[in-house]
Amino acid sequence: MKKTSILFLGWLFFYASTPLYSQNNEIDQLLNLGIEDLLKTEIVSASKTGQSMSTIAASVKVITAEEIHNRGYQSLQEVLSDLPGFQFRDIQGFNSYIFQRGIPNQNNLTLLMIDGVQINELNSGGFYGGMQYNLENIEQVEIIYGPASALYGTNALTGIINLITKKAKDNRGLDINASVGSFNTRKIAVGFGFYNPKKDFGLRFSTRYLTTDKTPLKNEYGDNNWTYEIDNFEKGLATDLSGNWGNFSFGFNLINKKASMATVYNTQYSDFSDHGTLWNILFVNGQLKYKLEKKKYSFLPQLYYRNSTVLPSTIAEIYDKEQYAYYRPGNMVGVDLLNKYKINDKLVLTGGLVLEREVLSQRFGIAHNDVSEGIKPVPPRPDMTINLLLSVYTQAEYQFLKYLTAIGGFRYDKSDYYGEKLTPRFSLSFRKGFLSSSLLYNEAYRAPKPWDYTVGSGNPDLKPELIQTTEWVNNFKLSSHFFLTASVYSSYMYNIMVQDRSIFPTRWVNQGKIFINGLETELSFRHEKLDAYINFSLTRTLDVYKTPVPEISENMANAGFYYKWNKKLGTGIRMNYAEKRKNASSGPSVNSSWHVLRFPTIDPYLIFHADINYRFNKNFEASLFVNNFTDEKYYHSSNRMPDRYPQARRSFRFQLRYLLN
Amino acid sequence: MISRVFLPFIIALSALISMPLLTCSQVKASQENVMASFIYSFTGYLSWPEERQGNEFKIIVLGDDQILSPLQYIGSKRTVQGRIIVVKQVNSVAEIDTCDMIFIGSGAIEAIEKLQLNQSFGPAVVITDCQDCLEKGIGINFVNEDDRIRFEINKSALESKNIRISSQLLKLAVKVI
Repeated sequence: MKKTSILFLGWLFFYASTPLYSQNNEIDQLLNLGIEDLLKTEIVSASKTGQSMSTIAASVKVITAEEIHNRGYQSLQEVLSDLPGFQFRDIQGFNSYIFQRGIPNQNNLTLLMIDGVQINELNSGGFYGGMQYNLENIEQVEIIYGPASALYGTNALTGIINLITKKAKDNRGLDINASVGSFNTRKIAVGFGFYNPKKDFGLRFSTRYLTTDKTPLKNEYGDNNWTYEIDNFEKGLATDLSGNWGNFSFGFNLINKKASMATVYNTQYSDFSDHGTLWNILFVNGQLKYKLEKKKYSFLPQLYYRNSTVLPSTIAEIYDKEQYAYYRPGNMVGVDLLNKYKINDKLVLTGGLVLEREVLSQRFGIAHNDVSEGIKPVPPRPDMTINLLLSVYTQAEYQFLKYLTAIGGFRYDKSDYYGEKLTPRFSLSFRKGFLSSSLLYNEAYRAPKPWDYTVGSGNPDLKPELIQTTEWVNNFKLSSHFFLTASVYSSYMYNIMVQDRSIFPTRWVNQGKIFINGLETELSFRHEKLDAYINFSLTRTLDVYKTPVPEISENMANAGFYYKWNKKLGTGIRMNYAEKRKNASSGPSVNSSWHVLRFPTIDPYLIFHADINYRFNKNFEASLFVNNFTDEKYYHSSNRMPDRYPQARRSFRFQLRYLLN
Repeated sequence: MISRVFLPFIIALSALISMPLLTCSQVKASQENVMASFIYSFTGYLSWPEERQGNEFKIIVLGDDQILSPLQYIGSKRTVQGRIIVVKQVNSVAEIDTCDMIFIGSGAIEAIEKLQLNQSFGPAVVITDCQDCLEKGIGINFVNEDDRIRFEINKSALESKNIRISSQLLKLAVKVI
């Protein structure tokens, strides 16, 4: 490690000593071009953040701010629900687990980022799929399908979700958004942006507070798994501050999620209490970026800070007599030095160095006391562990035979605790006229956490979980308004960590394997007045015995449209269909017997949502959203009982928006 | 073992690709900045009749907020043949007064029909970025081809306003009617 670190520090010094050149802003440079050079200038959409995202050869979907607003998305799960390739386990409050491309998991196989900086919890590696994100301040959501560890390191096995926030330059003035609705939902979001074009200086502030009850689960409403006293709520506070000054930009995000833990355990016939719990977690992200862009060379360094802390006011479990308070802090500081070098019109090299230092809790700090004492226990600060990560990633993009582009690259990671990992990626793309087609091979991994090596009997030989994916991605522009995308992929995931129950205490071992084959296709129509789509996902996930893996529906489909009747009125309808799927486990139920429930089936569902947006004038807009308007009763799968998690029935929400530019 | 094999290679490769180059301009840019730069560039290839030769070169923007700020920035930095560039945003066709250029964003396509009825703005070049707009009598239309901005020219619409077009500009257009 010492030698490696010295070499990397030398490398870092080399970077630091690289001379920087004074920059005019983008327009100044464009004005210096002749009109013929302007014709050659490639357009970079706001979705491509200058980070390596733009160079990923992969299946990509984008949800825009307009779609978020028109469809009334409230949670991250809702944002993803109309896309191909996503399935969910919403346990109503504490979390919603998001399964991308057919792998059930604890939200730790997909990277969630805000403006390119991860927001996955540092200790668990998982993100939260609920309502705590400031969606009113999202310019667009980029969803990358497939493994991406070759650019992003651990946990990027099934894809990447990047929330791109609104920037002052394009979002000036005041915007206020308030809504009320079913389940005692209340939301207020306020944003303000200021931009001075002469100085290229901008600041934008935005905050949102949302409180809601979740699906009613009291007694018979929750199939008798809980009592009439159950509290099940979610509260989210998210604040963003961002700014730019010339080539410098910064971002700050604070997210606080508070939710009930009651739905994790059933209370009937147990001594769990289903009220009084609180999961209180805080995320803080900060980043500082610099952009140096020349005709052939770009240097895009980024300094970032992450903090994810389960706050000590968390009451994770309550029993008849005892209550348990948890505390788990974690933080990280990192630097990512990205370089792009265009050698000529055909060859582009990209490379970067990542250096991260994370401070993690070795375990929860836990305190407990008697509920009847009337005071909350105060958990101690747990022992912390420090980990260093040094990574280098690089790739070459070569265009040949006019229509073909080959990309090859790798990322090398060296961690204090999981050692070295080399992740390659390759792609070959054909692009001509209406067709673009790519063949991809990507690998990715999820590293164990430091405590996974020692838990129970311990296993010092534990290795990262690995995935290898081969994919064929096709995009057809059928006309100026019709688009068709189709991706076929085959993945093999192995070294999956499973509990070895042959010894006591148990330990983690790398024994699991699954095979995933899938198809994701979407036909969309985009015109000034009508925006419509229909997509279909075929996902076949099998274990080593060729048995379908529970919690994954083989067939899923979504469809929807939004029609602008005139400048004031717009209406839309969306549909989600999921085929039946197996539940993950079985066990005794208050309503059913054991043998009936052995890998029971969750019924298929078909649900519809509607939205109406009416703009009174350039300042005021009113919206009405009706989710599940046919009032379908349906369930999500889980590793609990099949009737454990009924999903929201018909709900209404009324929203007012005020814009002052 | 891996580190001994790969690190020197990685360092050498990274050092290679981090070598800065002494070159000038950008090849990637945001759409609104590129379109605004095009609009400014067009002024060098178009000649307006004498009636539009005042102290100000006036550009009006309708239905597009994003291009406004790059145009204003250009206006603060450049002139058109010594004339100060004034950029103004309006919310309806009725608010358009005498000017040299009008940019109508895709958010105000309906305005094009009304524009034909309201010619009080004089010999202005009307520019849009929408599908099939060229035939509706506007002067220049932007189109996106393979992530690059191209433009189409309605020669007869411009000439009917006594606006002369450089042959070089006509050559660069992807479509001329």
